[in-house]
Amino acid sequence: MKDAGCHTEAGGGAVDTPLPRLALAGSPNAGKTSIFNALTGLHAKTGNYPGVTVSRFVGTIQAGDRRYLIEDLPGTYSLDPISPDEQIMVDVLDGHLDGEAPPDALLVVVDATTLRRSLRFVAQVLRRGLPTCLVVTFTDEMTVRQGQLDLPALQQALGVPVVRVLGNRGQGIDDLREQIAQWPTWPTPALPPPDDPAEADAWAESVLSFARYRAPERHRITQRVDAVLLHPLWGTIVFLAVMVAFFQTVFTLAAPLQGYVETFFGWLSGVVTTHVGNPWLAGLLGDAIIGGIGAVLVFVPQIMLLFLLISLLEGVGYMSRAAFLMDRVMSRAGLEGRAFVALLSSFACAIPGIMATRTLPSAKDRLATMMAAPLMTCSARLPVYVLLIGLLVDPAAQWGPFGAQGLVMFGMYLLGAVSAMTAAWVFKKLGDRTGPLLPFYMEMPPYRIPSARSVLIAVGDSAKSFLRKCTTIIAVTTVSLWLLLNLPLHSTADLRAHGVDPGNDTAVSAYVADHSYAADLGHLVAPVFDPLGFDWRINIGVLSAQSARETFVATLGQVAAAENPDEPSKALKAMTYTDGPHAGLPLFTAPTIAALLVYFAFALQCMATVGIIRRETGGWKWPLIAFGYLTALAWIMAYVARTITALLAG
Amino acid sequence: MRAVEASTGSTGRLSGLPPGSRATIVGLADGAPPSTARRLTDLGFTAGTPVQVVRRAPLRDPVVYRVKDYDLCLRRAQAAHVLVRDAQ
Amino acid sequence: MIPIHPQPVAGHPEQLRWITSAGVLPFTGVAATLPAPLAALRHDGTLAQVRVEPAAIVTTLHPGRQWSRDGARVRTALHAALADPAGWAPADSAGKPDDGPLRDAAQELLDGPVGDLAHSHGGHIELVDVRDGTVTVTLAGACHGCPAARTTLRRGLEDQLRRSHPRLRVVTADPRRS
Repeated sequence: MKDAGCHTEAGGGAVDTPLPRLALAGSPNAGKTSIFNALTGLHAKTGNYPGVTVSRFVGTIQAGDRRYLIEDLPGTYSLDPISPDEQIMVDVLDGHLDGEAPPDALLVVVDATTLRRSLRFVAQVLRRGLPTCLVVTFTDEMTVRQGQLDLPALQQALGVPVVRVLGNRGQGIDDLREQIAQWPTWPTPALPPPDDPAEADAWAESVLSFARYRAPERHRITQRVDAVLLHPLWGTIVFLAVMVAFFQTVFTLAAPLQGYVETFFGWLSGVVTTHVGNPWLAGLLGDAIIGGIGAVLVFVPQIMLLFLLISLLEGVGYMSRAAFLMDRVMSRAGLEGRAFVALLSSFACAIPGIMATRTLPSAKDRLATMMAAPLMTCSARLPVYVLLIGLLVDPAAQWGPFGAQGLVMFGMYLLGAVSAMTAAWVFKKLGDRTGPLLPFYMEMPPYRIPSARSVLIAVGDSAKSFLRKCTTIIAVTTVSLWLLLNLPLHSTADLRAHGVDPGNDTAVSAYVADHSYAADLGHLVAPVFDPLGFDWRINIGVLSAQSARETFVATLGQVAAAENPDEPSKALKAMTYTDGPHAGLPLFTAPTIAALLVYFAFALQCMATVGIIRRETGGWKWPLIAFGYLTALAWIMAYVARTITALLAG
Repeated sequence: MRAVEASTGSTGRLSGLPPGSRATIVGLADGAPPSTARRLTDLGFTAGTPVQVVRRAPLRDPVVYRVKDYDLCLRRAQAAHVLVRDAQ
Repeated sequence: MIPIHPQPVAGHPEQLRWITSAGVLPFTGVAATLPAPLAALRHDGTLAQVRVEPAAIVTTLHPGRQWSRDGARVRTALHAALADPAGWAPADSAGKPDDGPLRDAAQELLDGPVGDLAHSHGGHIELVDVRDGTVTVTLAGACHGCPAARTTLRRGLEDQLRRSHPRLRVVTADPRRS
């Protein structure tokens, strides 16, 4: 902080004068975020408002010779709150938020192409009486579409400073900084604008006519594109094509990239194993740490591709159209079209899906969608499903023209989608018992070509937060699991005493695993999973998959490799119960596999998802609810699946 | 909930208009929930404002309306709270 | 409702200038007679004076009053009063009806939307004279001899003028080319 920054009237002689606080308000799509990014240079901190699931973005900026705190308020069309999360925003402006004074000054961002509607919001802001500066964006687009606006006249009519900024091009940001530096001298309106709707309309009309405003013509390209993309027949076909392309990109394009990452970590782990003398340390470094981090990094190409697609579709304006097309379907679950976008992303990974719930204006919808998102079949389930379906269904089996394996896989995706919609419906019903029902409304922005910069920022940001939040969680779990599987240590004498040849690595690792703390744990939880047909080895797999689902494949692979290093898959099929009433009987029977499949379809086995729900809801309540209900549901549904399969199989 | 102003043409509900039609907003229906009425007002559905029905979703709901120079989509349930006159 | 918005008057914090479109009232100068809602504010000591300008109305508060407290009431009263242009009269009401406001309003439309429309078609409309409620213009450029120009005059200029100026008798096009 510079010492020149200590001369504020409000400072009252305090030695440690806090930074002046600015707030950025405006409607969604007005270009608020790109202005925030341009001002802060991306040094923003995300957090949460107390008690509600509204993300809070605060950054610092430099203007003139001092620094300011700037807060990006959630986009809104009105300062007349009709929901608890809108109330939070108004409380921030009015200084009613716990222990926080109102911001020192406001920047209100309006889109020049929708100025007529935006002036109602501007009127509400100006009635607050805080020093305010109007930031007008998209004047370039307005001019292209034959619109016109006299900014000095607008400034005179409103009685507050007006600055033109083209956020995506960074034009006008310096003017805005200059204006911010003078905030204590900003003029205020001679009389606050009226609140009565008719008087406010008359005020807005008069201000616009004084500023010689001519509304831009309708965007021709948007009209033509919409005529196709929202057409009852063509629109539906394009929508389905976009969805197919979406999955193709996320799964097909990402697969080789994921292969490279996997190969790299395999190689790295091999290097460590070869060069680290101590086998125990080599295992910890190679399997646990490198393997654990590798297990997360494998998903980075997919996540980044997914975010690239989402931010492209969002930036172009197609997401609003997809939401528009799907709203009726989503309304069956009590949700709205925008929730579709979140659930769609969850097909790849629940984390971007949960982050995408930020676009939902209603907190209840956001929570219902977050509770449903982990049920969508994410890519981490894919390797587990491939393994289990391979064990369950003969690759040659056909049901009609379709391969039976493919149909079962499709069934698992369908199960995920249907149960997600059902869960959303239940949580929405529970939520709707309190508070008012919110009306549905969504702006259809004109199609715009998103700037490469804003897309890259969105992709980079998401990848960063994914890595930061998940690497720690998964790495810690993998290391702990590895320790559990490899402790206690067994001396050579100890091994010999139990008839294990210390020279035979496979035999040693099988013995160590069978007598590890993990095995104890597997046996300990046996009463819980016995009704599902799981033995202690599956239990370890399920427990290890608790941090990340795909770990299950690795764990079972390790167990199987321990039994038959040459043909682990054969070993898996040949596995029998080692103890208990079923000892000697085959382990992977159809009912057990069905139960496992269904267990994985429902259980919240992803610490990263738990972490992101905690971050987005700002507390432990909702992640714990999600974890509890999904785990209980997984057990019950797995039991049902086992019973039904057993009946069918006879 | 604001009183419906006296009007010359026949009045109807916005939700009843087919795509492509234009009308002038008269006000909001008395039965509209207060929070919905306030929000519709803030979104630009005020008395005297011209409104145009742009298009309907393939499943007939929601519907895109053009009001105050921008496109906004509403479900029919919300559009039913908006009273219009002089539909063409 | 007639569109209005307030602007400060430099050096006179007790005054507000309410910007209107040109000539919403049939006179300029200090108003002696006001419609009831505004007259009430002058009577109860809120307003000291109401003055009509070609495209604005300037209201002056009594000493001791403040816009922050009384502004909203003045605005509401002004809206009600503007809905009744016949209720306004200037202090020197002896004179005959003034064509000035009508001229200002016509000029504003020709400088603004109506003129823009003509320009976009390669034409030009110019104000020649306003006398006894008759507005005379010339059609130049592509407008000259264009049948659509007549529609533009009727729809654009005449209809819009008549809304705020009941005094308007007719808009005529001067046959001479300019």
